[in-house]
Amino acid sequence: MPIPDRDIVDVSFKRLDRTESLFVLNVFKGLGTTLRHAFQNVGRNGSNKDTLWVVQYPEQKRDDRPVEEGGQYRPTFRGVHRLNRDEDGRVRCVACFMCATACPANCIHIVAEASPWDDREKYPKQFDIDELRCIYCGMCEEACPCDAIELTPHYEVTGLSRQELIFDKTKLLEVYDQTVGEKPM
Amino acid sequence: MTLLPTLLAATGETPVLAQIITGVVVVLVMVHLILGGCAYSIMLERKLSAWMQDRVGPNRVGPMGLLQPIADGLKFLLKEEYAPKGVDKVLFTLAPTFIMVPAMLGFVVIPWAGVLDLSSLPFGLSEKLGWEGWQVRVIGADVNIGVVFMLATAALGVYGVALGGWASNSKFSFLGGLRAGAQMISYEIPMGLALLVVILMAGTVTPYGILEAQRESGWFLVQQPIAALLFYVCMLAESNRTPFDLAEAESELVGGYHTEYSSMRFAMWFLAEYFHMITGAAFFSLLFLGGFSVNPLPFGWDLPVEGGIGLILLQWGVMLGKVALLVAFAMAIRWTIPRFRFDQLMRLAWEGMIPLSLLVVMATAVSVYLGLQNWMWLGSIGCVIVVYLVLPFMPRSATANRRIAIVGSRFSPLRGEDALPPRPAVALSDAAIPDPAQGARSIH
Ligand code: SF4
Ligand code: SF4
Repeated sequence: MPIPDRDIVDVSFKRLDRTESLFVLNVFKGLGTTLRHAFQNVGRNGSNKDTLWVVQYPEQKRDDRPVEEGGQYRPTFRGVHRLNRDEDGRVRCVACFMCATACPANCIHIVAEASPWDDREKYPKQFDIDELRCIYCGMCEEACPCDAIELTPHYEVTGLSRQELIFDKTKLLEVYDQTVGEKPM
Repeated sequence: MTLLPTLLAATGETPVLAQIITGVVVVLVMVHLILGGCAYSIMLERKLSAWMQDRVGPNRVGPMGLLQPIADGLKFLLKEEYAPKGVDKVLFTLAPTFIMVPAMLGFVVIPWAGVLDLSSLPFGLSEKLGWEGWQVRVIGADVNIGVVFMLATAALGVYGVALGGWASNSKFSFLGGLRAGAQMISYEIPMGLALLVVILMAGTVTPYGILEAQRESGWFLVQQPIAALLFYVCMLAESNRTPFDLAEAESELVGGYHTEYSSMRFAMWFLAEYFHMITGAAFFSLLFLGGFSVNPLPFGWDLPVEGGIGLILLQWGVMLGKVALLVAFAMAIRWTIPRFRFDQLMRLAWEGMIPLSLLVVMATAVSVYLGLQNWMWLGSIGCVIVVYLVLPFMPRSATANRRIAIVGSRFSPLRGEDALPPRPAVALSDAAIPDPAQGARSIH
């Protein structure tokens, strides 16, 4: 059965007129566009707010920029974890395993033990987070019933080996000690 | 020992030896200058493309990233020199030199400056050597076949590409080599014809003769804009630059003819491409931009041809400036125009540029015969008018079927009332499922 004309679409291009089919003028038009961009950016090393507004990373950071210009909004940024301490300086975690269960990357490993204190049953003897497996989704923070685990706005986490980047309880508490000033619990 | 006096006595006033020494000095200086220029034009290209695309480009190595070419070179040197299984070892190694050497040969016949008066050498050098009053030309070799030599060497470049493609034992490289071959053969013709226009206008093929002719009639860019345009486009095609870089089209052929190359061998391909570009730009400025001349018009003041060392250096600077501008222009074109499809490339050469260049050659020949070559700018405008008149009668490309059946598809550009209701899916209808034993039947 032949396809009726109604079902057929003609996708022909527009015919080039005489000037267009010589290409030359249009090539120069195109050159105008690219050269305009080139002259806007030449020698400015990416600091032109209209076209190219680059963060030269190690020297400049997103933290230095206002949020409207692509800066980092620190209060909700999800960076490296910390384990909070309570008023007595003890680890707040009660080893309930909620975070480990919620974690989609399965990167929290907790070993629980009977707590030496009276106000809780358990505490974490060991608390490891694999910062390389973590996807920084913040689910652990959401899940925690006693605000023991939190994500800080720090993103420059480096190390020389994979082992180094598995943060244990001491390290996580240390992160708390360092960041408690800028993000109080 | 008999050679020296012979040479010293060869041509009347200026001994051949002094000219030869000048030639050697010029070649040595220019080779190093251009090789350094190649490295830095790679850098320039990266920067330029970055700026055009609103990026920053390399800016970390050294101040403003200026040491990047050196870092690149070091990296090339330290990489493993890898040759895949089954390559033709000899040709595989030779191919990069086959493209490098013609590119380096061509610029020998370019005059970088005018005639140097040796009396003006610093440190009283000319008195000590007894060279006072002698005049030499600042050119590698002032051969009397000049631009023909250049055309010959430029054409040799394709051997490197074809050989590299063949020796690599890879289909991508092979296709790249084949494409380069077909492309260069096609673009050699308009290039030769554009060159013929210049030779007709100048009445000579020696480089200095062409420069002299341009001082009288104005730059050939002014007199022959069409030929200049054709020559420039062919130059891009000869040096395998976008939009003519089908031989290394990375979106189709991985890397084209240099797919299998690595380390310094690969760097040679790269250098050769830029060397080609610089040589081509130098030839363009010799043929159409009056070499070291600064006045494009046939009247008015211009740099004198003969003079002391200061004037020669100034002329040299003018020439290098023109070359740098042309190279930058080629880069701007590369980052502006997308690559041609192969049939478009061939059509551009055979249906566009070759007829056009024949027309220009004809017009030039007639006007030279009538002694009107200084009015060729009018002739060029006339050629454009002829093209405008003839264009509608030129054969068009074969008409492809652009009528597409889109039956109620969601991709159908028909909207609203024109849109057809979608057809019922076959599986939901009661139509009998066709029996394969009875042969395929249309379900529509
Ligand atoms: S941030 Fe997400 S991935 Fe990382 S430890 Fe918490 S729950 Fe797991
Ligand atoms: S959810 Fe909170 S309290 Fe429970 S184990 Fe994790 S960090 Fe500890």
